[in-house]
Amino acid sequence: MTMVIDWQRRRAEFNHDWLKNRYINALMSFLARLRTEDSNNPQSLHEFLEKDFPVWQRSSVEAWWLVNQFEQEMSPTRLFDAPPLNECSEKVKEWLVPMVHCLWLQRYDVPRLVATARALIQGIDDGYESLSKSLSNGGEGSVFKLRAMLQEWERYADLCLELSRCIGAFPRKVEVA
Amino acid sequence: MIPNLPRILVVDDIYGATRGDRNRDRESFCYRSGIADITGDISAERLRDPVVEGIFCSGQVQTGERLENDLAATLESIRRGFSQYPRWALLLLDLHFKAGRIVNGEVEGRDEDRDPHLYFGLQVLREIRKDEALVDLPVIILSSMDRTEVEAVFSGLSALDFCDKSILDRERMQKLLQDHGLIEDEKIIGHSLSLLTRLRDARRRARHGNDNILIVGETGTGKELLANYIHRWSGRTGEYVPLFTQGVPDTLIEDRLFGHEKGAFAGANTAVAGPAEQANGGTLFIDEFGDIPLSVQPKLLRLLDANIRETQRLGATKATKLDLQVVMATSRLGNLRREKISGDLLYRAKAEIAIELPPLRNRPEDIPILAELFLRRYEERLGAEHRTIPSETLEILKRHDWPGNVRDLERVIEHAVLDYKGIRVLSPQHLNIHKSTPFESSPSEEQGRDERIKAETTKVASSSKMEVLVLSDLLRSLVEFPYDRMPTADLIGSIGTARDAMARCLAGLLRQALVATSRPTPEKPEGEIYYSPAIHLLLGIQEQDKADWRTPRCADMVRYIVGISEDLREELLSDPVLRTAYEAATRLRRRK
Repeated sequence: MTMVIDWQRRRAEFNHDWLKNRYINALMSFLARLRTEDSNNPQSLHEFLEKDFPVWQRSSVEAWWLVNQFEQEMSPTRLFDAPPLNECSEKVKEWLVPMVHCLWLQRYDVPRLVATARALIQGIDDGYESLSKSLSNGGEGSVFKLRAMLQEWERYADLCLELSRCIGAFPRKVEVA
Repeated sequence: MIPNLPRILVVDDIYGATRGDRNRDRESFCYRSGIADITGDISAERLRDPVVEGIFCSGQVQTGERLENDLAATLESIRRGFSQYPRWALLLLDLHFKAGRIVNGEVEGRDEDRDPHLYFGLQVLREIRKDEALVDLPVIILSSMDRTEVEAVFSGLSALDFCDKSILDRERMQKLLQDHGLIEDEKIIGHSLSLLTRLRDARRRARHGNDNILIVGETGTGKELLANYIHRWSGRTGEYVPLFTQGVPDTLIEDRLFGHEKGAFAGANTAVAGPAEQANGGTLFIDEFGDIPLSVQPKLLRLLDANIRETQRLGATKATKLDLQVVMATSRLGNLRREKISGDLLYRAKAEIAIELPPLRNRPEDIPILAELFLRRYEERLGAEHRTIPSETLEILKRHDWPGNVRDLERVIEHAVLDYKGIRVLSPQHLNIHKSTPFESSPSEEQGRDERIKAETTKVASSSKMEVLVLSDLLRSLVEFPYDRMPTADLIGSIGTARDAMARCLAGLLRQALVATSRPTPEKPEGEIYYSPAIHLLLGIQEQDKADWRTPRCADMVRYIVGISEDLREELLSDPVLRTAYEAATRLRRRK
């Protein structure tokens, strides 16, 4: 018994359409350029800083929503809102719904998944803030200065990759298996 | 190791899309994966050191305010680029394609497209696998979607790998190419599908690094080149050491392969490491491994057993452990199964998964590039005019049977350049090949071989021009002669006849080599006969191997050749050149 709901759509749009295909793609390309001995195209580096990097600020909100709403949106208790489980008597629902929810939390280790994702998003938020600060302090000006921040950029990219994996590992369906 | 940049096709809705003058997502993807974008639909950045050339296709078509997946056009792009050179070395295929209404410049997406079992990428893959012309197309799934739900589906449709979009970089792209790509080589010239798939097989086997690999192919198909290719791709840092067993007397093969200790036999004045030992850490190549006599096979088995890998020099009391890859070759696997080659040896050689090199007649697509290569080589070497190859000549070259394969083609081109140095157009008249093509149709391989043998026999018998006879062709005809169909009457006394023929053949070769290596002196202006250089020439002994072939060993070889047939010895020795060499060899052996 499965159902498609808004959370899944928003997860696909965030993780597949944006984070992996766009943000991480641009970030990895930026890192590759930064690692090149002579970055022959500083314009591309600056383009990333101006157009791609800041998008996290907007998307962070979506990431938090996904993680915070996950338990509520994807719990199999949602199945009791639609046929045939909505036909259960209120008396049965009273004990069955919390039990199904509890079993689901345990089975998918939801608290751990959510905690990990929260820590990753927080890490990216912090990294974003720190990098933005360094950039506004003149780091954006030259390739040399950007390269001096390479380790910080790499840590930031690792967190993004890790978040993508983590969100990808969340259960894909609302189901009672 | 890759001469021309391989070309790949990327079918992906985001990176394949044409958005105004630029697609920044594609630019980023190309930069980090080392792809030179040659799609030509938008301006592309020029990479300094690309790994591949890439053409991008979105797999979609926009009609009004909607974007729809376009299966027919996608398949057409795939087919068109795989049917001709430069064909796709790889196809990177996305799984989920976002389609539907376009709202504010963004595609809305549809829930059904997100259903893993309805992914457009899988639909494309299903159609690819139905198409015979695409059976060899290497497909890699390139996606940012979760793979678990569709793993079994794309594996079942022979996708070779799954690559997560977010982690693809230059190194991974190179690895994908090495493992699965149809890529050319700078030394094994050609880009036909049959050749490139064999090169891929060879790379995959080489990756193992400690395997025994058997190469099967007709004479002149490039078995040694492929062995060297396997060595280059194995990542082994030791040497590549070839061993050629053809023409080496049985009694000498063990010594040639395993070497000897000082004093192991008369004349063994120093210890000599065999090629197996020299190849330690690298690759040993044994050409025509079926020529290794039964008596030596048990020792070879120990070398081929990957768990043992031992060699023992003649006269040694202890075996030496080795770490090497062994590549073997044969031009007659079918015969080997019937001949005196042990089943164990064939098993250890992994005959069941041998890499079969295609004959040149099965890859006519490669003939123009090979002909061009040989032309330039011999024009330069012989100081001849630079010439073009008109299509009429190319057609003849492509339709010829080439029984001696690439070597045969090289010989024909060499003669054409040598005989017509001042000519600037290679005309059909310059080609010293038979105009009739034995294969107008495409008979089965078995039929083909019989017809070829018949054609060769007729060619030899009817030809009055000795220069068209090539020894390798003659020997090949002899080897492939359909002995199993000989009438009983023809078998009577056939061993004696064959032995005498072999004695005459080897004596003829020896005489020619003695004349070729003779040196004029004031006393003997016609040339002084020296048998060691002649034997070196006949056996193809390289400078570094001459220590193994000192005068006494050469003397033995001369005496062996002259003594093959008792009945003919007197007749052969009536020739002054052979007699001089034989007497000198006999004198030396008496002194010893």
